Amino acid sequence: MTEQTADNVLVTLRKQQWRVEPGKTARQIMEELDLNPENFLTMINGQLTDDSTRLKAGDHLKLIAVISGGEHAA
Amino acid sequence: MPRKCRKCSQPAVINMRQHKLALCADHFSEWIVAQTERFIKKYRMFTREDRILVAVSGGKDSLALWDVLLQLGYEADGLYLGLGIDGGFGYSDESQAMCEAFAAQHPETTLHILDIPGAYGESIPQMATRTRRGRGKPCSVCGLVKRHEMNRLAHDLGYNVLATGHNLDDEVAVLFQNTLNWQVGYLARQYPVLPEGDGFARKVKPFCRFYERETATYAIVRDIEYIYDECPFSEGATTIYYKELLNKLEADKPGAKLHFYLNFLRARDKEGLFADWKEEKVELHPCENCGQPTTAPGLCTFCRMLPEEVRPRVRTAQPIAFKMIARG
Repeated sequence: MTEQTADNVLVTLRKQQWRVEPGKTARQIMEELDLNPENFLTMINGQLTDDSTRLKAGDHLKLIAVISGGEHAA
Repeated sequence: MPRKCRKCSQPAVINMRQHKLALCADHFSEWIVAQTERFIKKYRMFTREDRILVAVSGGKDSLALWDVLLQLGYEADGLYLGLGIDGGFGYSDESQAMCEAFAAQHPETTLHILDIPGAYGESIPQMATRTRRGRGKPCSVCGLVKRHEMNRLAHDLGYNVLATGHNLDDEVAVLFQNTLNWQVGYLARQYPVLPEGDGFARKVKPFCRFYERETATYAIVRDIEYIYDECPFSEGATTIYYKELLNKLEADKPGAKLHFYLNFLRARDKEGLFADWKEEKVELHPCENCGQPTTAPGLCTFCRMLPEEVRPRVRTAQPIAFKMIARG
């Protein structure tokens, strides 16, 4: 479990967590984590937001995967 | 500063780079509803005289579609097929719970639920194991069962239109795959509407021009609970691989997916692509057991897949209406 501190940004994607430096946009953070921003929605402190939002220390960025697939998709 | 809504300058919840359009939650919801109505009319999918059965899976696309159709005032009910897939976290049970929760909030509609293991004695993975279809994965059996049962139940329950939540990413992944393999027959049939006839219900895809991230955003801003977890058997699915590949292209070239799909439809509708394509006319006749249209002599593929002693059940298997359960 990665602990959130007041001087970093906590990023979660399902059960994965990262701590990153503040001051970057959600899109930049995803690119640095080698994640394609097209595959995710971004929620900051529980609010859905577009990925140009810059994160501050203490913020929580939750990434929501949007790709679904397989023969089952309905 | 976060990006602002184009219409009201509130913070945007989504920026649709392919449309150069950022919108707040309220204006985005309005936009999705209005665009859906536009696509329904543009492709002549259905009218308010039609009875629509929405195939719901508990996922974001199908529940969002059901929500939009109800908002637009269409007569739209839901159909959920319980597939008996567990995957270590009760995948089917959780999916059904999401559909029931949605239906409970919309007393004007009905959710029909057919439990496949209850009706036919086997879950989808068990059917796949017994029949050895699909090389260890039940996806092909799942597709066969869903196609058969959705069409059968639409007919039996008196719905003339079957609506699915396929989004643009679904459509583009299929288009890409069929182009790579030059599957001309499949390409010629790919369209937002498949007309009814020969015992088949009309099939429509009102969300075919929305990106997957848009349907997910709509579900979230409308507080629609949906199952985030993927079907446990979808891991490594070709469709997901193509979607990720196409999203890499989209990240560099915003609008690439939309243009690929729209230009395909334009080439087909306006430039005569496939105009000379003559589909080999196959003779359809009713399955001897269930009455559904089939090309095979005697039994359809679905009935042939079932053990002989189970086949008579296909004629009587009917879903439970959730409205009746909810009202006791």
